[in-house]
Amino acid sequence: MAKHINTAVSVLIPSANIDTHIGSVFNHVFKVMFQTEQTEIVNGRFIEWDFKDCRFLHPFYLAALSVLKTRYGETIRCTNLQSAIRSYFEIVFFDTPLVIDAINNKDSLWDKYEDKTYLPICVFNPKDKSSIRAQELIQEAVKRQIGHNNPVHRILSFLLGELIDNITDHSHSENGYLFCQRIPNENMLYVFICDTGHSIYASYAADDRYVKMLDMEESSALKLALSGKLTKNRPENENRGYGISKSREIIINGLGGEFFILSGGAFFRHDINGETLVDLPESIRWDGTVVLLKLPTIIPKGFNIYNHIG
Amino acid sequence: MNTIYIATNIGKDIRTRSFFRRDIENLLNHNESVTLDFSEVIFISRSVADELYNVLEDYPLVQLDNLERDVKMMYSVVERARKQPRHYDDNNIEIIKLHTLKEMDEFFSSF
Repeated sequence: MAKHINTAVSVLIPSANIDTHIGSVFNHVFKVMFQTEQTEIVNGRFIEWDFKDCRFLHPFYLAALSVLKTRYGETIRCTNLQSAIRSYFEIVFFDTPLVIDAINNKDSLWDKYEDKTYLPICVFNPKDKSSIRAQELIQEAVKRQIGHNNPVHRILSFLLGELIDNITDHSHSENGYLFCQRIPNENMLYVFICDTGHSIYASYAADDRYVKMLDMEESSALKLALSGKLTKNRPENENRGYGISKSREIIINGLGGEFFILSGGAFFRHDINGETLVDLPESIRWDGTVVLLKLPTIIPKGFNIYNHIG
Repeated sequence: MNTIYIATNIGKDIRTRSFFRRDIENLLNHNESVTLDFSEVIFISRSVADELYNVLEDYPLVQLDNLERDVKMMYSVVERARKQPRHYDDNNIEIIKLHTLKEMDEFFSSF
């Protein structure tokens, strides 16, 4: 697609405070991406993300914009932030996600989130043990927010373990991102997990055994991933590839939650309305993978995680 | 027989397959009888449990001891699954192809 040169340096950030179906806010994220990437920077000027219409940002929208801002680097400046939004951005580390260190990280920093519904947007290095430290910190903070007796944090432990393991083993990403926000009146915990590395399609395309199962559309790779096919070429890997398929199984069939995965130019959504698999227009793609989870904080009676992971 | 305390040497909360494999390889010797003692390990992910199964296949002289409740459950689930043929879910989902930003906008407005 020919690149349209837009000499304007301001991108209006649409207001999005609801996510009608899980992942719907990515309609706005994609538009921001498209406009930002089509904008030519003139004479070293910055691209302004204009937040004048925003009074609240949905957690998934907020996290995705933060990752994009980090990816675009110093060229992005946020303008017209209302004071409440500015305060919110500061406490969730919107401008620069909180860097998780494999060993250090002041526990006291996390104390101020104990009575909040949200946590900082965290960035970790998938190649070292900061990925594990990020999970430990997030889980402990969630446990403190929702109560130690609520088993959600144990389920979260399984889900984060599998989905972040995928980032470490398959994405070749320099960074992984993790963000959680609880929505008390919905009894839901929103979880955002993301990398900016290879898409799932690229992982399968690099494996001779699966390349014939792919077509030109990136949705074909998501279908393979959802069926439990692995994306790493190792002899013992018939036992791999459970992460995405089992996570979805637990969330949908076990908990009655919602699941969304975007990778490259395709996404999959599974909620109460059923399954949807979509190939995006060619001009829209996320370099890497985003997983969104809506986890009920009230666990259905009789739920046993081990019934879903065999 | 030597004993390796996993909580001390690797961690109490073990989540990443590749890190676990790397750490355990540094601790094991192919010709040595070793007990991997999991006391105080509170969690292993499914992928780590699967890798632990691989370790026991690769190192026949290694055995496990003191698996805590959740760790034991996770390992049992994986062990049972490994002894059965792998099942892949069928996905006959209809694929929606969006060609333009307008189509994308309409899709998100409706679904």
